[in-house]
Parts: sequence; C-alpha cells; structure tokens
Amino acid sequence: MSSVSNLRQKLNLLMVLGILAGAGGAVMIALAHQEVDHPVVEITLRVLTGWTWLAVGIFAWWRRPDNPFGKWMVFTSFAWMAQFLTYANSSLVFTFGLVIAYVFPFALIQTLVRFPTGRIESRTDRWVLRLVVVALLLVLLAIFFTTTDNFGIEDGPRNLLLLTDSPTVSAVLFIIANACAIVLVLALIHSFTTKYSAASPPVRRLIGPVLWTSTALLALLGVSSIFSIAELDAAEVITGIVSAVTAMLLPLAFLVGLARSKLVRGQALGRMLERVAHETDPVKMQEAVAEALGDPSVELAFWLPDTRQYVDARGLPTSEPEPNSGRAASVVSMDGRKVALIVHEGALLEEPEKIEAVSRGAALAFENARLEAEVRANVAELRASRVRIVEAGDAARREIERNLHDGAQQNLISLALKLQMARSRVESDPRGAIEILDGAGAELEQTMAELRELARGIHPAVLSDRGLDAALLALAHRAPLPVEVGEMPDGRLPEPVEAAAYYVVAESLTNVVRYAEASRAKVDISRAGGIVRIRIADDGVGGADPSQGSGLNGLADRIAALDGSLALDSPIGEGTVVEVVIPCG
Amino acid sequence: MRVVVADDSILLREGVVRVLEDDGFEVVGQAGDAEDLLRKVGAHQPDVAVVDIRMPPNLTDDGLQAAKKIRAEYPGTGVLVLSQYLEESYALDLVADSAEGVGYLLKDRVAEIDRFTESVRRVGSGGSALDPEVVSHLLGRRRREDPLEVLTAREREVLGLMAEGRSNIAIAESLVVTERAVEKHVTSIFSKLDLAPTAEDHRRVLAVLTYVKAIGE
Repeated sequence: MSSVSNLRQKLNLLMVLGILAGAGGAVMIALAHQEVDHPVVEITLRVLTGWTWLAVGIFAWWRRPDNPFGKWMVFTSFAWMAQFLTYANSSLVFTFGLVIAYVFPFALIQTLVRFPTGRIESRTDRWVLRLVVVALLLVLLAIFFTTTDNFGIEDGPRNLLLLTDSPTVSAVLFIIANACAIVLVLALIHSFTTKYSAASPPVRRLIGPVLWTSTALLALLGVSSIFSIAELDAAEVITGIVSAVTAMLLPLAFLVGLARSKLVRGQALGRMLERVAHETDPVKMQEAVAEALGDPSVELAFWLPDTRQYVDARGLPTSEPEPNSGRAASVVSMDGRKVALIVHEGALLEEPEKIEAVSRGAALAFENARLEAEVRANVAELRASRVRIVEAGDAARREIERNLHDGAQQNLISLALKLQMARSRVESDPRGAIEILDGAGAELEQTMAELRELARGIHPAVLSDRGLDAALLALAHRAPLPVEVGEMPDGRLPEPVEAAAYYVVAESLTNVVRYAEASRAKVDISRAGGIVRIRIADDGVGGADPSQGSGLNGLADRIAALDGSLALDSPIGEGTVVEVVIPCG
Repeated sequence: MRVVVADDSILLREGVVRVLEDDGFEVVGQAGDAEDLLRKVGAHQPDVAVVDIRMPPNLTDDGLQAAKKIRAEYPGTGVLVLSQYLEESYALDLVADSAEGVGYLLKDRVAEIDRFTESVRRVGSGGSALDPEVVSHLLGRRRREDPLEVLTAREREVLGLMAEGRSNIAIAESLVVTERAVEKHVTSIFSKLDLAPTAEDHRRVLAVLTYVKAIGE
C-alpha cells in the first residue's frame, strides 16, 4: 500500500514540477531578447510537446511502475523543457541551457530504443547509444568554438564557454556530428523494423504506432542533418517545424497503440471465454488461449499438486521456461491456489492486463482441465499398478515352480534312484545297500525341510492360524541378526492388513540382512485412530534407495491397494526406517 | 562307452554317475552348467552326454540349447536330454533335423535303472530315445479324423515303441513276440500310413514323428 502511495506522491510532484517548468519556459520565450519569429506558435508547440511527453510518461510510469520506459519518457520531457533555458537573457543561464540542451537527444533516443520493454534488447541498440554519446560530445566540444552569432543570436546573451571563435573547427565538428546523426538514424530505423517484424500481431498492434512515428521523426531529423550540412537553411527550418510536430505526436502514438491493442483484445477475450467454457480438451483450450493472446506459440501447463509438477496439454511432464529463452510464464491461480501456467512470448509481459484478463477468465475452465488431467494420471497409475500386481503374481508363481522343480523334485528323483540302487544290492552287497538307504533317509529329511520352507514362503500358516504377533516372532527367530519385536496390536487385524504387514516386515528384514550391515533391527506395529502403523528400523549403514528395485516396490502396490502408504527414511550412516501406514477402520 | 554327465544338482548327478558306472559306462566328465558341459564335451569327445535341460546360467532351457550345439559340432557325440517336466515342443525341437543320436526323457526315468541305461546306450550308438509319455501325448492327441484309426491296437503299440526309438528286437522283447512278427507289423504300419519303408531305426523314428506332427497340425 505504502509503495503505491509513495509512487502517487512522486508522480504528483513530477507533474507539478513539469507544469511549472513548461510555464517558466513559456515566460522565458515570451521575454526573450532573441528574435523569435512567431512567439505564440513557438511557445504553444514547445510547451505542449513538453507537457504531452510528461503526461503520457507519467501515465506509463503509473501503469507499469516496474517498466523503466515511463521514467525515460518523463526524463525526456524534462530534458525537452530544459532546452527552454537557451531563450534566457542571462548569459550564465543561456550557456547552461546550451550545454544541457543536448541531454534531450540522448534522452529521446534512449526512450525510443527502450520501447516497449524499458530494456536495451539488442547489440545494435547498445552501439547506437554509444554513438549518440560520441556525437553529443562532439557537439558539446563545438560550443567552445562557436560564438552566439553562429547560433543566430546577434543581440543577446553570450556563450561563456567560448575559447576562441573558430568557425572552421565549429563547422567541422558540426558536420561530423551531423554525419553521426545520419548513421544513427539509419541504425535506429533498422532496429525498429527488426523489432516490429519479430513481434507477434498483438504486440505489433501495441508498438506499431510508436515505432512508425519514431521512424518518421528520425527520418526527418536525418534529413534535417543533411540540410544542415548542405547549409539549406530554409529547408532546415521547415523540417525543423515538421519534426517538432512529430515529436509532440510521439507520446500520443503510444496511447493510440495501447487503445488499439485493448480494443482487439476485448473482442478476442470474449471469443476465448466462449470457447474455453465449453471445452474440456486441454489442446483445444490451449488453442483458444493462443488466439485470445494473439500468440500462436502459447502453451498451457497444468499444475498437479499431488506430484508437484506441471503437465502439458497432452499430459506429459513439463516445466517453466528458461530465464533467457525469450519465453515467459504467467501463473493462473484460483482461490490462491496455483492452477496452471500460460507459457507465452516474452514481449507479452508488456501487456499484463491482457494476460491477467485471460487468466481470470479461464481459471475455472483450467481448474476443470487440471482435475481431468489429475484423474487421467490417476487412472494411468491405477492401470500400471494393476499390471504390476499381475506381473508380481506371475513372478511369484514362476519362482514356486522353479523351487519345486529344482528342489523337491530333484531330491525325490535322486531318492528313487538310491532306492533302486539299494534294491539291486540287497542280495549281493547288503552292507552297501544299507549305506545307500541311510543316505536316502538323510536326503528325505532335507527334502521335507525344503518343502516346509517353501510352503511358508508361499503363505505362512502361522499368520492365518495364530496371527501377526506369532508370525513376526517366528520371522524374527529365523532372521540371522537380533530382531526385537516391540509394540504389537491387541487382537487380530483384518486379514489383508495382517498379510501386508507380514510381507512388509519380511521384505524389510530381507533387505536389512542383504544391504544394511546392521547389528540389530526392531519391528513395531501399532493401531490407533483407525490407522495401523508398521515400523521397521535398523542401525545399519542407511543410504537405501527406494528406486532401486528392492522388493519394497512390489509391496507398495499391495499397500496402495489398501489405501496405505510406504515411506523410507535412510540417511547415510544413520540406519534405515521403513514406515507403512494403512487405514483400518 | 564314454559319457559326460551334466546337471547342476550335485546329488542327482552323482547318483546318475554311479548308476552309469555300475552298468559299465566310463564317465569321463561331469559338468554343473551349460558352458562347462560344452567345454567338457569338446575336451573328451564322449560317445554320449546326459544333459539336464535346466541348468545355469539362465536356468531355462540352457541344456537343450547346449544339446543342439553339441549335435551340430560333434556328430560323434549323442545327447540325452533329461527334463523335470515333459514338453512335446522341446522334444520336437530336439529331433527337428534328425533323430540320430538324440534322446529326450523325463528325469524320473533315471530311477528305472535298466531302461535308463539302455536309453543312454542307444543314444550313444547313434539311435534315439523318446520318452513314452511324449510319444503317447503325440499319438493320443484328439483329432477330428484320426488317421491312426486305420491301425490295429497292436500296430499302434508298435508305432509308439518305434517312436520311442526302439529297435525291432527291443520291441519284440517288450511285447513278447518274435522279431518276425514285429517286422510284419512295421511293414503294415508303413503301408497303411503311406510312409516310405526304411530299415534303419533312427530314420524310422523321424518318419513316424514327422508324420505324427503333420497330422497333429
């Protein structure tokens, strides 16, 4: 709030100062000893030009405080009015005016070059500005060698800076300066044309009037410089008047451009709202917004708060444009929440109201599109999870098949073989037969143990018979490191929750044994407030990476199916904690 | 007869080795995986290799792939493939080009010591050994018009034993008939099925299998 009122105060002050400066200038011209051919025309033209620049400059400053363009316009208006000092009768003031008068061309060219962004955009422009300084320094230098007579003043204030009256030096310096001016004019016209042709249609509507008026003004100044070199005084006077009128019109061209782009925008906006409101297809929505902004390169990015990322109209992840890519992004929000991003041509930032209007108009439709994108993403995730569950089932079945064929079956064949061998030796070599039978007995025991282990891997019977507590204790006893079974819920949990908890603990302990280099582990399961919390902690090396296909990934789907979630906290050197939360009403 | 035995289950491998040695085979090498097997076969050039179908490194059909390679590179070495389960496609894959010196048996058959050693010997001397279960599957497929219906029950029995790779003498022993009777049946089968008659046992196997496969498709 305070910055806004500060700005208003500052602008008011500048306005008053400018009005006073103009009025003072008018008085100064009226009282001038110098010969002024048409005082009324001269006063009106000069003061009005100053005030027009001032008024439009202040308006532009107020409209876009962060765009230096307005400031430069205001500065230019004051530089213009400073020229009035050359009408002074006092030699001191006159001489000061003589010097300070050359700030105006500098300010003018700065302002034109900086249009519309307030920044210097190209290398050409940078060189132009350097050349301006050189030319102005040459002219300033010429002051030391020029009597007031040469300025067309015969009976008036004197040039206090005069060192020696040297028409030759003065003339040479003026010719060089005028030559510079011609080069400058050509360079600037080139720069404007480039700027205009690079702009999109809506930006052209905005900047066109200013650029063409400026070009006309510069052309006139160029011609005037040629006339000056050629010493065609009459022609110089005429072009001088025409360029003064053009200079006065220039700020008005700025207003015309603004009004033009607003008018067209209003129509485009209405069309867009009509289209976007009935549109659910993000691609079509993007087209409508592109049309409304008049920028065919517009891209929409919808914000997905769950995954904290942007997706484009096709649902693919995308991001904000790079800072110096010439593209800019404007956030669309609704009720203070980020909904979408409009990525557009950087120059469109010069029309914030336009983007603002489009954003506001489309926010609701964007919100709908965003929700739709979210649903689509969820469906895709659900589908992927279903595929993963089926694949996990197949993999488990394959493993069981392999374990049966490679373990138990091999052992049984070997046993059958041994029995046959023993049988054939019963009579010829009874001692050998007994030896073989002993081996067969041991092998049979091993086979039975393997089968038991295999069955437990498929589904631990103790889990369904005696519950989680007993199953986890059994798991802990079989683990090759001390596992403390801490807090356990009272009573039985729903079967799927028990199974999920059991497999989470089993898989986590497998990981602890494989990777953690831990000396101990602890398992806690608590049930409170309709939520079951499963926590497995170890004191190992940490640094576990959940993305590296550990068995926990497979379990994430099982947990997600129960609307639960899995979190892994594994800072390097500080052990690993797996925590699973499953709602359980 | 010189043998190389390949199986990643040491227990079973040693059982097989013992059975073979008891029966007079000379076991010149043992291998635990497919690469080891190829190396040992290359080094010893045995008469026959007894190969478990599922072995490291991939634990899929590495043994079968190794068997095909052995047949291609060492024509003097027969290969008897043992499998935990029977897949006709594996068997047909193995005998696709020639049934000479190849065999495919259910692993359980090693416990039927005499039949097993006989199969090893047959494959080692350039014959074939197909598991009876594979043969009965092939012959027993349901078809809309079964061309095998033209055969008598006894002829079907003989056809099955032929497909297993047995010689006329072996078939005669198995059915307790004279060799002459078997020969008659074989001639009758070949003429009824319109197959070119051949004397050599392994050619016969391939002819029968090709025929069975053809009518199965």
